[in-house]
Amino acid sequence: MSDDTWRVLDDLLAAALELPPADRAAFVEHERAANPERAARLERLLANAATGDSLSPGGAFAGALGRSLDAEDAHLTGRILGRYRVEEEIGRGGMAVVFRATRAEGDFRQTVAIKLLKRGVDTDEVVRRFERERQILAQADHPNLARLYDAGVGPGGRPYLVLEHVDGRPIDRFADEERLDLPARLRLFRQVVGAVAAAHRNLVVHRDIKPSNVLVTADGHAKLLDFGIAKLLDPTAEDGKTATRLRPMTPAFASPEQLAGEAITTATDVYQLGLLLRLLLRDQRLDRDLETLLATALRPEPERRYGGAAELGADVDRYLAGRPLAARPDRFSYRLSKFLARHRAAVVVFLVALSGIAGTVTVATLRLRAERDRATAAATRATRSAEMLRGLFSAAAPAATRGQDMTARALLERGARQVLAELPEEPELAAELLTEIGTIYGELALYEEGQPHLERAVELRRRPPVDGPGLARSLHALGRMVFARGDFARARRLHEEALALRRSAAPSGDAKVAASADALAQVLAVQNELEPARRLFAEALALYEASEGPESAEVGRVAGHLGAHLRRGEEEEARRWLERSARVLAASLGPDHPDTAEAEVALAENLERLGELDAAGQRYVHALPLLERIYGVEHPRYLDALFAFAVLEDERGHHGEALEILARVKDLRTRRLGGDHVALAEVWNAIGVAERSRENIVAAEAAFRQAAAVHDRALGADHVDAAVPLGNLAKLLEQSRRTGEAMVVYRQVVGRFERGLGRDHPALTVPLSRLAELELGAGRPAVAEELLRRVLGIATRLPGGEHAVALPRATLGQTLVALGRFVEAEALLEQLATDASVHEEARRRAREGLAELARRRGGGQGGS
Amino acid sequence: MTSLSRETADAPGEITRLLDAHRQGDAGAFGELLPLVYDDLRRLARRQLGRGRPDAVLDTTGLVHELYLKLAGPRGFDSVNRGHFFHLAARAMRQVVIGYARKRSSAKRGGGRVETTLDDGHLAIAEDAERLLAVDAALARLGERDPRLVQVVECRFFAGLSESETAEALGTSLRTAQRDWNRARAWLREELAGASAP
Repeated sequence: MSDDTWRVLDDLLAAALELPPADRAAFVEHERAANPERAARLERLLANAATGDSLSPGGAFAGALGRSLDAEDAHLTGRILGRYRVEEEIGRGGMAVVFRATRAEGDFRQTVAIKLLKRGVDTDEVVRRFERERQILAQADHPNLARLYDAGVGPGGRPYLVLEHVDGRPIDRFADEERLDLPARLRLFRQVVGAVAAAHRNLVVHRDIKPSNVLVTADGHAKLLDFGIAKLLDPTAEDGKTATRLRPMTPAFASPEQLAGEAITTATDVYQLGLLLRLLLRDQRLDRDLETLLATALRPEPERRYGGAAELGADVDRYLAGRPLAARPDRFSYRLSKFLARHRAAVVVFLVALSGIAGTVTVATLRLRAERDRATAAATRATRSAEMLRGLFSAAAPAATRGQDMTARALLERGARQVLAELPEEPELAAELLTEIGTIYGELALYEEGQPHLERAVELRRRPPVDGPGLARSLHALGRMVFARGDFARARRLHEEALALRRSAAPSGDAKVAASADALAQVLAVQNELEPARRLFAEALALYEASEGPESAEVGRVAGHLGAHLRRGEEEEARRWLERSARVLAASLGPDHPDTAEAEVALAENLERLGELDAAGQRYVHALPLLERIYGVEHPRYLDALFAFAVLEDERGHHGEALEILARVKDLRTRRLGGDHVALAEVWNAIGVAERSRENIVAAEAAFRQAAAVHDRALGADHVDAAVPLGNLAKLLEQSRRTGEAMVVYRQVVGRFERGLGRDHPALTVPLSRLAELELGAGRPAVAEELLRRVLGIATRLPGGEHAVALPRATLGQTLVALGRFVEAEALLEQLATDASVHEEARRRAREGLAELARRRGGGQGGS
Repeated sequence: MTSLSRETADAPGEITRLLDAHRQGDAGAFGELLPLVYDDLRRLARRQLGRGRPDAVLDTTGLVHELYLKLAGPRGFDSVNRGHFFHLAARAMRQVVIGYARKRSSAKRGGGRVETTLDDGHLAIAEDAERLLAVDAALARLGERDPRLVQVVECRFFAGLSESETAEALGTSLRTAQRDWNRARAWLREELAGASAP
């Protein structure tokens, strides 16, 4: 075989292997129309690459050696293992492969699952763990646990377990597909709790409870599977319940103590059961008792959860019977102390602001009420503010609310009502308090509740006589909030106004100007106006360095914002800013502070862009439990980091895990923001990417389309951001040989880039090149030429352009051949094919083009 | 330099130095490393096979990982050097395996019947060494077309590395490693079929 023939065939092979197996036959057929001989070879190559022993016995490459080149363990199919015949692989985990197998003796026929330790993982430690699983299962006897029948040693000395074969669906799918109502879901869940409780009685902690490990049979029996990482508790340990640590296998279903590498107890299973229950009840209306039950199972601190599955099960029973639960809602004193700990800064600001306002408001009111005695007025305001704040907090104390606890949210609502009711005469004070309350809502990410207060504050402050600094404070707070909610245009106007007010109050700049500059810069960066954003970040940094010191938390934060907004090609610079940010924040605020955790996350994202995936993963694993503890699972800062972690997991090849995490992010974001928020679009896009990696083309296509649709609903029908999922969609369609559809979508991508970024933006080269190739393939070389000329026009101006233009030039050469402009084509292709500095792919294309040229010329001469 | 074979305490540091040197373009460092790794692998293999059982199994995966632990020490290499090490070990493993196969093959011609099979990275001294030599030769031909395919076969087939370890070893994405392994299998069988054709 000549080199060229080999290359062409290899390219076809690579392209075919990219397709889902079901689409490969069509690909071969398509090729057969062009070149039957080549198609036949391709077909054979694909058969070679496919799993299963496709070679006939006695051939040159049969037998054990041939099989070993097949997918791992696939050759076990059809073999006898002990008393069982292996039928097919049904699952695969970190340690083991699971097969369906049958035992047939006389009339007796039984289907079982055989779990065989994977080759290469059979280290002493893993073999010990496998043996432990066998012991655990041998002892456990519960209708909702998969039974152990047998065990043995298979090929290569690898141990295997013979288990009850459960023909069922994951519990969440079962509940949804059977449309179970709330009580039915709880009863189904109760079965699982029973199985876990049985394990707990035997001092076994499962540690890996998740939907895929709980299968439900057609007749509604739940079976808990996979004690692969289960742990025997050490009854001699201090409290009889602790166990040593082991890394969680499924981050989305890991308890905080697993993520933190802390001691594992039966409460770990309780937490995972809580996650499972929350998943089962995600679309149900929950009453107060169920909320309490879930909250008790899901408390971050193990010692404050249900002690074990039995206690959780008892409360589920009580709930189903309509009796009062054993679990009590969180004590307010506890929650308030947590709230204060989390929001100490905000509460301190609140207090300081109150005392401060009393002064300023007094001055303002004095002007209006000149007759009133200055000192008396000041004293009165200060006292009232303090009283009001005391009232706010004492009203929430258990004694005053007759044992009914009050949440932080209720506390704020009450405060806001009180402010509006009691201060109608003093708009300045009311505005200041509403601003503070709104800001705290913002910190709790309760935007919908908080925004009206901030709007009201701005409105009050616009009434004459206008107090510039006060108005700027309220504008700033409102700007932060609408920015967080995704309304960038309005956020920009608000911050511009606040910055102008603050500049006029302090022409040489101060910390307040810095705060506004930083906030506005973040908006501009998101709107892709990077140069003005950079200038404002730099100004904020310089001002903070002067006013707060170069190692202050403020400097750390701005450095972090700047680092996070630098773009492609600036990763190294970004990394320097982000490292400075993380270092300064850890030193000034402590390693457990939310801002420090976020700096870690930003650095993780940066490391990811720099390709240091493992280092990035470590940062996430450190930061995520911290963020969850600080903010709770529904908070955007936690969810943003979790999303980024999912993307990283996908990049590391853990597609299944990535999809599980993404599903969780999607649910939680939808719950808080609604389904049409722009934050959902990126989740859909990421789901599409992960599904594509799993070769699940149908799901990937649906996800990309959903991402584009959400973008359009959130940002308007022509926004450039939707070009990302559309580009992915186009590529997917192209790979699936749906060329016509792919071209339509590529044209949409081109249109959005042109309108959003200008007609000469480098981003255009990719969709234009793809379009050109498709047009050429579709027999429209004239259109292709026009597109390629545009690509070359843009690419030539890029730095390193000579490299970027090689491939489009090769394609152009091929296009010219197709157009019959042989002289032009030959000059171009010869030069490319012989230029050693041109990369291999372009040279290969050029050679192909020359071969085609020669063929055509030969044909032309033959015809004349 | 034979300090590695003598299992001195500074082996991880020395290996790291050589790996770094090679990564920075010192081609000589690779040449210096390969025989060291090769010697150690062969010694470990001999120990495994020397237990005297007729069905002795050479667990190539276990060997590479065992050697890694020994050379890298308890703290391990950083991820770049780890990948580099696996790449190197996979090449050495191929040499070790083929070395055994050659011996068996000549022993057979000499009258003794000792055969070799590979079962998922477990090299059992029971079947046909000729087939291994055929794989080796086919691989050499494939290498003239695309050296990357040879590397992926060395990692997956000879060293029994997992997909992600292979990706790490070759500095590619997981996806590329998977695709190259599929391509390599397709072409390798094609080569072997061609070699056996009359």
